[in-house]
Amino acid sequence: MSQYSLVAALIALGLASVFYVWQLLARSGTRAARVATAGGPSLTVALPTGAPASGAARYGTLLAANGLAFLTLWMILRSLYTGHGPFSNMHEFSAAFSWGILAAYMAIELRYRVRVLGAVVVPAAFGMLAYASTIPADQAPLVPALQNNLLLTVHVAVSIVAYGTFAVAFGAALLYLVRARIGEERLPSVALLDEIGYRSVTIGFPFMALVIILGALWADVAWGRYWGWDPKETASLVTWLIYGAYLHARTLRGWKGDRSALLLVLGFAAVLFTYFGNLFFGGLHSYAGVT
Amino acid sequence: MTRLWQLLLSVRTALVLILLLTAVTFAGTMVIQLPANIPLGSTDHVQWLEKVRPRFGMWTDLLAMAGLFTVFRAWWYQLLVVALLLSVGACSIHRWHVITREVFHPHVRVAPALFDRPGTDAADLALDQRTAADALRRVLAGRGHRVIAEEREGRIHVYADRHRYARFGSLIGHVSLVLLLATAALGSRVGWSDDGFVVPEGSTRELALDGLSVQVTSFAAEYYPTGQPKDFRSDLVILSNGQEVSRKTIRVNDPLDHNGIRFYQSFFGPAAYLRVTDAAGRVVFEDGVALAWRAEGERPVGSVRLPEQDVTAYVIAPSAGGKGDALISPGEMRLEIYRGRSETPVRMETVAQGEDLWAAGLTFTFVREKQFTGLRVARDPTVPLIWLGSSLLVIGVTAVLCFPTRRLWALVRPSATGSRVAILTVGRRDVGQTEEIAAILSGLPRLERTSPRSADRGARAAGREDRRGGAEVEHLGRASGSPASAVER
Ligand code: HEM
Repeated sequence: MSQYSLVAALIALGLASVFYVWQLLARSGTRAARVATAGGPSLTVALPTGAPASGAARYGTLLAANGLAFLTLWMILRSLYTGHGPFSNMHEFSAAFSWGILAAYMAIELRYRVRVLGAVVVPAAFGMLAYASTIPADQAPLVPALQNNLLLTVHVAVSIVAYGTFAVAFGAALLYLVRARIGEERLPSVALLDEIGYRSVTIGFPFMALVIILGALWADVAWGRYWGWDPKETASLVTWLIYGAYLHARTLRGWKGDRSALLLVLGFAAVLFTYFGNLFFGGLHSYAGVT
Repeated sequence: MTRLWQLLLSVRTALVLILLLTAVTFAGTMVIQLPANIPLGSTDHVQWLEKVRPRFGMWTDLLAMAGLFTVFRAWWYQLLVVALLLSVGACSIHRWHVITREVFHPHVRVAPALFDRPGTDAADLALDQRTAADALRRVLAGRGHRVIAEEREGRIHVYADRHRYARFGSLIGHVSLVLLLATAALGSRVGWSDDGFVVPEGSTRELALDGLSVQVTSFAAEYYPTGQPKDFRSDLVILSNGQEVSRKTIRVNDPLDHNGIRFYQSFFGPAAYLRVTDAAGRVVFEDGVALAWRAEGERPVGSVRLPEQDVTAYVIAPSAGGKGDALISPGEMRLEIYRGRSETPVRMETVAQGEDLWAAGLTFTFVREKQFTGLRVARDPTVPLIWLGSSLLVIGVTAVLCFPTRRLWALVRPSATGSRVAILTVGRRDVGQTEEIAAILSGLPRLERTSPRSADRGARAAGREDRRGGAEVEHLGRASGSPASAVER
């Protein structure tokens, strides 16, 4: 049953990605008004008129919302089936990660009414879900260290919010960086992309702090030490520090534009590194218990 | 001294330090680190390097020389952390005055000329100055602002802010970083821990702390049908001078806590119950022997020293549960008996359960197979401070990022229509703030709006506006040395 909703979400997200990307590529139809202010810098205001491509984006939104609904349904069904949150193996983490990206994206789309971002972020959510569906779903039983329902659920749920918002920031930064290549008139104003990146990080940064702290709390309960320089916890610290650097650079040093966008891209690379880390640091997030 | 202080205060220093620390921490995740229980420069250290040499090849010595196998213990890593802490501390002290002034004694007046800049948001009202100022105050207060007004030279200056206490979030967040790292440093000094406290089931072992002993009444390991581990648990009794003071069944996620000393289920392995009798038939030893070390061929091994007889017995179990061990079959143990400091055993033999071995005038009986449990025992009284610091960090960071302080200055002047209200902010405005200013102005009983951008109000409502005006205000304020420069972030 839960597999059906996962497949439905996958299809919805795949189609949504197509519409979003098409909208971005065909966006030259949107009228962009250049308004020169007296004495001030000129502003680009993309008017949300009914250009043909915005129809495609609307389908994109509709499908992405459906994808989110199916994924939410999957999470509920999966939890009912396994008896704990859908956070216990790579299949479940990845589908939940996809949910996080999508939820963060939908919130930003609602807030800023910018659909262009979907062309980057929704395919990312789709990719994550596609990756999840390549991993066998059958639940490997939990090793003892992971048998802590409360901490496991909260730790992973919080990380999904952090990773989701960082994915949205990454999408905004990527559009920022490539805007010269695809033509500015297809994009929302540069300042808006910069703001979306920042706003996402303002949510993600405290959540990431919470992820690290909950991890430390858990390590203390399970192993009797809150910090042990385990590669996974160290990688999450690296991620957090990069976003910390970004906040200072942008807010205090006035790093705007490419440099701060690059930090966001770097930050998301660190997120992916942290996330997939287990695969190459060889299971050193040592779910110990036996040595 | 002042140069150093300036350096610590500089945000560029902070950035450089954070980025450097990020880079070396990243290096520490990419390169495998020497386990924390191996002392630097010890023979174990050398052996460990040989173990990783196949993986890093010719780079091994280079990496070792650069300290990349021991990043988190390196003096330069600690130096970086300390430098960052000093910088955070300096910034916090420095910001304290700025923030308390902004929160408790904000600048109310801004040079009137700044309100005449083109692009300033303004509205002409058909109200006299006082009534207009009152209306503005009501609108601002209705939107959750604190409002302070001052009349000066026929003009009414209005200052308003919202979420002003979130300014302290930045201080709390930064100070809690110092608290966290200072606590961690303290904890590594005053804390005590033993990572490999081994007790065979049925036995009691003394702890090198507070005269306590630990008795393990039983140990159990459960597996899933697939062979994956499911649960490990040890029944522990803590004894103080032979008296039971605490008791609990511990599991991997569920330690025992006795007066701040915590006992964690960490690992386990085989044990042998051994009895030794002398020629007179007197029992000189009867206890479990934990086979917690590894002998040749990955065989678990443990030892017993009998000081009176000056004899040491090694007990060796078959490797990996006995599968394919040519020397020792499952259920058997190999005993090797040494006298004094001799390197050659006086006797070595594989014995079955219940069988005796005669050596050095003693009888060694392998009574039965058992298991041992491996505990981590730790006491770190600073841990609660870590959770306090962590909570403060999250609270502070959330406050400053998710409830950003909004500040604005307004000037109400008489005009041809009655009065004119103009609003300034510092810093670049974001979409939320732009919408807020628009909503404040449209909340006033207005005659006519004179904002130059009234044409794109539709777009603004749709949240798509790019606004740069605020940044200019800040710039100008600095250039003219007007009070606005005192209110920049
Ligand atoms: C790892 C270390 C640090 C972390 C995690 C951190 C975190 C933060 C955060 C989250 C903000 C809010 C940013 C925003 O409003 O967008 C901030 C602001 C700020 N930080 Fe840091 N910071 C660190 C180190 C430093 C250092 C070393 C300095 C000193 C040079 C510093 C000085 C400031 C200042 C002056 C602000 C401006 C905000 C204010 O005081 O209201 N920070 N920091």
